[in-house]
Amino acid sequence: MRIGLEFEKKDAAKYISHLDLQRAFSRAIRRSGLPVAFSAGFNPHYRVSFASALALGMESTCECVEMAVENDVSPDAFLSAIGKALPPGLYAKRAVRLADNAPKLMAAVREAEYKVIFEKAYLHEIKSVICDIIASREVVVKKTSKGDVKEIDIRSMIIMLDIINDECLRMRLAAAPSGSLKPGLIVEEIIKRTGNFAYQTIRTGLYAHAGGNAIDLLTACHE
Amino acid sequence: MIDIKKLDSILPNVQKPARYTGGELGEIKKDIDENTLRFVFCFPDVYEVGMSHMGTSILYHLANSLDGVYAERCFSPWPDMESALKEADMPLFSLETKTPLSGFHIVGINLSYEMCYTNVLAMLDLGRIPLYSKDRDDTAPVVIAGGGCAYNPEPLADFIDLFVIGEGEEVLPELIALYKKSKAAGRQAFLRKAAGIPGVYVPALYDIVYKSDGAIKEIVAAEGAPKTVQKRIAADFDKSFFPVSPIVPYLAAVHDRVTLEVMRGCTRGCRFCQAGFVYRPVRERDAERLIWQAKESIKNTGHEEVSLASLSTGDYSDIARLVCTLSDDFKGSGVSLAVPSLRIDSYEGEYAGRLKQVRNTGLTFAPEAGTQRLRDIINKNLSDDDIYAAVKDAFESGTNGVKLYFMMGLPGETMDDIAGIAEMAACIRRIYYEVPKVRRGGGFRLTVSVSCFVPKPHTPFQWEAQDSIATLMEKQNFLKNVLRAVKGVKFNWHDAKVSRLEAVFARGDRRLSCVLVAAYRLGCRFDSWKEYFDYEKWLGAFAGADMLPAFYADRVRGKNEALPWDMIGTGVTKDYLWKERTAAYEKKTTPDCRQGCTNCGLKKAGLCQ
Ligand code: SF4
Repeated sequence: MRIGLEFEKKDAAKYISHLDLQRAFSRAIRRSGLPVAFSAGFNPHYRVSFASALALGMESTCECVEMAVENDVSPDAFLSAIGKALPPGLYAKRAVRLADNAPKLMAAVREAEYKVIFEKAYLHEIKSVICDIIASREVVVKKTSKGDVKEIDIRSMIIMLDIINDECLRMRLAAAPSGSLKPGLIVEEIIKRTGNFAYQTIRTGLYAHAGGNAIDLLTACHE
Repeated sequence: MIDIKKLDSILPNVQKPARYTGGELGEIKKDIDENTLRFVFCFPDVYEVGMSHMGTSILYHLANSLDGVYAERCFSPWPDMESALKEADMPLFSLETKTPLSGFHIVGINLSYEMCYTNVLAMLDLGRIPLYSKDRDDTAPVVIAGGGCAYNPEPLADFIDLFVIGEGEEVLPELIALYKKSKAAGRQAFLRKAAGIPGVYVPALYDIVYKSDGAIKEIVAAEGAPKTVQKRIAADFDKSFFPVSPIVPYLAAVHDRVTLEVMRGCTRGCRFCQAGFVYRPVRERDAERLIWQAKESIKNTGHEEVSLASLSTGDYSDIARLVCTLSDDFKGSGVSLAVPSLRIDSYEGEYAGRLKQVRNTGLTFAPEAGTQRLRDIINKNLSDDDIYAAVKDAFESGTNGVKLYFMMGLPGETMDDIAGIAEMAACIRRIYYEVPKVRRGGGFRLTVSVSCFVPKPHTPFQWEAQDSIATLMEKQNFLKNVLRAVKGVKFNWHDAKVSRLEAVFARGDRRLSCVLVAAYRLGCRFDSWKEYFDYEKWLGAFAGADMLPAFYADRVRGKNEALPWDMIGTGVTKDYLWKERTAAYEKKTTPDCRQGCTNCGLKKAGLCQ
């Protein structure tokens, strides 16, 4: 049986790297006493896998992880036990039993939503840049990965981009195994056109696709 | 408190920000009011190293168990963070409450190795505490220090207000109580009174008089300060405080596991080993207590490994039962047990067979010297036969990797002894290939690590000269060449330049303080890290301060010469150390004193039963 867990990553915990997060979960599982299954092999470790890696330093209200459990545990009992065991900054929100035929969360995720809080003074400039971006058919930016500079079109990976309450940006971006867009690339593009402003990004949602619609990841994979 | 917003703006730009956030599981949180005594433990190395240090963990939780005391933590900022702090004009702060170091009552610094001294200065300076003890007024914290290097506190005497000599379990609470009582009277009054606590050394109360040749003429203690500060030991090690809810770092620490302290002290009497002389006598912790501590710690931390720490865990009298019980208890839980190399042949009966199944972490030996002759000189009680038998046993049960640790530059050493290291490696390789292919593990791997001998205070070799850098390098090259003939061997060696500085500061005096400040000002930091060690800068610092490293490292000291650390007593007498030195020159060994007291002096000092 697999359990899917949604959790927040906040405060000091936002500086836990992806690798360290796996370790933090292993330890929380051991402290909780939950019957999470071990991998086979000489150095057994808990079978835990995350839906999507989060950038170091970013907070999130919607991280998802799945765990294989050996005995039947109710999602509620799981939620409460893991919630007590997680270290400060990681807060368990919701646990569901995943359908046997559902793919791994990592394979099911298609979109991610982010909130970007920015300096008020830049509201008008940001608004107009956003309009420009949305109106363009293509927005090509330079992306460096492992020392190589590549040109990529970010427009095609923007699903939604708007401003809520004149306070923050909301963006829905492609986050599929086949291609995903980091929110930072868009913010950098905006900054290039408006001038430098301070901002803070929070991930607020992960989505799968079903019947042509985007649905909340855990709901989509729920039993 | 520092500006948290500002901190948040610099953290994304430094490596591993989790080094500076605190907030981990197990971190102590307390309410602070005007009566709270605020203490900060400073570890002068990076977070991952400091968080692996058991002594600091014990004292942190011990101090926090006291009413009205809040102890926090601080580690050396990595060079990128040091620059970021300076650029943001932010002081170095504690992890728990983000308080600048200057805002504490007491700053306690751990001194585990000599090469951390520039980091000590950096922490004080970044924490906005005057570097020199004499420049601190009543508003500045009291800066105290302890740990292995405090057995020769002199190179840091000008910077540290007081040193705790020996184990801190009782001294620390006594010091804190005294501080609370006498705070109002000001720091000078406090320091004078503190000098009356056994195990406390206040360097400002000692005057060092020098002879014209630079050696020390005499050490004059001020009235009320003891002539010799005798080290303290925990009154009852077995029952002494041990934290079973240690902090669980978010970042992988160097030793990322539950570490149990099974024993303190070692009485094998290796003549080069400072730990062996200064941490006497041997005391063991009850096996039942250790088993409880192991289970409780795993329950509280969720760690995946338990390790059994001490200077020679194999000597723990109940080791077989301890190892077997723990491995049974953790079976199926994904928790592994890191056990040091045990000499299997010495166990009989119930546990002997089962121990073989537990032991799997690879085999590590520290013969220290390549020939029996030199091992007799240094009193390393490990014979070729012991090593070969254990290695054979291990290969037969499927181990393929062996690690050997040696030293070069030992007193009485010749090139034959160096060649002996290669001979031993070749012999171990032969043993591996003699084991039938089906039984041995695939791929022979032997690591030979060779460090440079550093004469240490309070050992029988404290009077010796160190080999020059050129000699050490010649020996390293020679060994590199002869080892080339043995396939499957990886050779590691220490930088002779680092060892030379270690030798200077290990046996240095307080005149070196100006060298340390100069090196710090020139940018020396993290000197125990290869990527930051800069010998040229150090040479510049010595030249600028008009001091010679050779005076400290290269000189054989006379029997009657006053030594810089003569005011520190470990319980082992100078006579005993000299006798051991004489025995070394006569190639005579001294047995482990558990087989019979060899009268090192501890009994007379009331430290050994
Ligand atoms: S006094 Fe005797 S038994 Fe005690 S540590 Fe010294 S030599 Fe060993």
